[in-house]
Amino acid sequence: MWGPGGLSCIIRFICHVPTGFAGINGLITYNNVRGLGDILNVIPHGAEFVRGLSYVGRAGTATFAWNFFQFAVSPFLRGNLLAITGLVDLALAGLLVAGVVLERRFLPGTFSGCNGASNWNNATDGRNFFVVANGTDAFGSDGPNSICHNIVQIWVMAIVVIILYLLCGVFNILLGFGGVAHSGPGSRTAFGLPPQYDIDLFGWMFGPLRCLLKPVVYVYKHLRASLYFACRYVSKYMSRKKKLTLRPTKHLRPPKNAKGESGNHGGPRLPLELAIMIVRELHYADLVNLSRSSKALRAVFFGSRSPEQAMKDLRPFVCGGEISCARCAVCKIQICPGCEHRALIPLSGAFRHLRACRPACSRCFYKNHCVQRVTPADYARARGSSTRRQFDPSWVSELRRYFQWARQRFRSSRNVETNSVGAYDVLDEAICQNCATLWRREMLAEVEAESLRELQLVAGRKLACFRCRTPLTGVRWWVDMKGWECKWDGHPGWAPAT
Amino acid sequence: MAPIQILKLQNTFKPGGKVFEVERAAAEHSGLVQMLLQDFDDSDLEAIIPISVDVSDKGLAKVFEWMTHSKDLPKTTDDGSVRGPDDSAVNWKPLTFSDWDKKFFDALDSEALYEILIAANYLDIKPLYELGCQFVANMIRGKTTEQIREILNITSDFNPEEELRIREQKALVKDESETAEKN
Repeated sequence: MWGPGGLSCIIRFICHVPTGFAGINGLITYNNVRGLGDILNVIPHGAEFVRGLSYVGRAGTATFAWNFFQFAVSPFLRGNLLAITGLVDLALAGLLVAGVVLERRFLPGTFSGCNGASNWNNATDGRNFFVVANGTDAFGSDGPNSICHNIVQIWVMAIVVIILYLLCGVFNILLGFGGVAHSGPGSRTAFGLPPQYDIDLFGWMFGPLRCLLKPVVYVYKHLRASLYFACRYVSKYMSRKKKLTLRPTKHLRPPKNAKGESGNHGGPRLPLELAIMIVRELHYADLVNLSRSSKALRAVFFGSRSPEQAMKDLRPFVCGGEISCARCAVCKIQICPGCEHRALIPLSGAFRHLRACRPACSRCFYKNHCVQRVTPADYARARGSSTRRQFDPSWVSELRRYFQWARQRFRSSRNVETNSVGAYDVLDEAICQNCATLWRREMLAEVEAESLRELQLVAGRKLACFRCRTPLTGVRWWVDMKGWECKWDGHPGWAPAT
Repeated sequence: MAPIQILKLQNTFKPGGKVFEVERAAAEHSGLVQMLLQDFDDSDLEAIIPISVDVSDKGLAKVFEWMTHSKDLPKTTDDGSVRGPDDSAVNWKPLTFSDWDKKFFDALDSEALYEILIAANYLDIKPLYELGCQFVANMIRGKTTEQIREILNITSDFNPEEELRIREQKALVKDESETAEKN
């Protein structure tokens, strides 16, 4: 039964040769160097060098043995046990680091530095460590350069072991503690195993530790949350006068010198019964197009005094007189089964915020999104009873949209030329005949403008906190679906003055 | 065979209106003419029947052209029944465009079409204004703004600010409809 320690096992397999080499050779070298006598007292950093050799040799050998043992055991470790293994790995790596650092005080840091070993860091009495070592049987008689090369090789291997063991230790701690704390990646359940089989031998040790750390954690969390809250509050307060500005698309932007309607179109108007007779044969999109074709033609159909009102009066007669609740997903006008088109519409940033973000009051925001993070879905679940799951239309609709998207992706993969979509940024929706003729870029601009317009309408309304339902006055906090604060500048940070 | 009776009709909306001579069978398509004729004796048929509608003589001529061509079509009487050419009751059938009707309406410009609709409505010629409305609806249905302008040979006289206002009015309509749905 493989657990999250599998990664550790792989690293240990790679470590076998380096740990063995660094440990055993390091220990042999240490013993040989100790036999060189008083020269260690007169060479620069001699004592530290010997201590470094001792650390590398002893800790390296211990690491080799530990590595061998853990290679067999670590695949089955998880939870706190894995984390403790990681701590041991880090401790061994720490000893090796100390040894390597001490050795470096005397040794050249590269193999090329050993080419002049007979003249490297000579002692105060003029003797050379490597020349002296070459004269003993323990080091052989290959010459001072070769002895230096061998010792540096052990030193380099120790560095390799350190790197691998640091990685191994960090992974084991993360996967171990992470696996205990939640059921995400690294936990036993993530590997398809039931959680009750977790081996948590050292859990008793961490309980008291957690209790001791609890006040520290509490203070830290509240301090951090308070600072964040205060900064954000000041920021919102400073920009409270700033109004949400629409960013109209290029084709919607009016020129600076435009001043009201121009021209006199007070001509005759078609009798209402005739207008009704005509619009009975039309759809609402046709009516929109008619009103936008020219001022004179609009005056004929809808009059010149209040064409908007006349258009609203005629609206019940369009689409065959059927009152339709369906709206075009892009421009939001009325559509009916006779005039709707199905299309993939791109999602704009404003559209996502409009759907996903919810307003919260200061109290709820601080408690649930500064100190800790609670997603709106968690909140909805918590409000529902344990026996009866609360119906949450947001996740249902999200799921439905995801399947729609997946279906479209599947279809588009078969017909790349007509429906190529790059990412999860489209929805399959019903749109009007006008929007069906738009290019994707134009449609995106239209969706963006429409969403911004809707946001502006929302900004002017009285809102309530989505958690406690308290009417929001003053500051407004916005929370996204993941429970984080949404800092998008399209959300009004302050309630409008009444 | 009964002699063909000719009626004289004059538009008195503006002074100096042209006098049109129309067969009685054709003129009876008009509910207004039918009603006026009830007050006339046969001896009075030589008199000019005044009508008053804000339409040019050219437009009115087109209306009478259609009436003359369609004199054999069933007519709607003032009591709501539909009568055939021999004054017998027939079942009403929705009108369809004949080839002649298509040519007739295709030849009209937007101004003449408007005048025909106004005149047909005033004279209460149900088949004509129904066909006219149908024709206008066919012209507009499924067309974009640019296509409508092209068909009617008109140009946009909106400035960009007005265009923006028209676009925003869609959001207003949507907002109101949502409120109504909630209620």
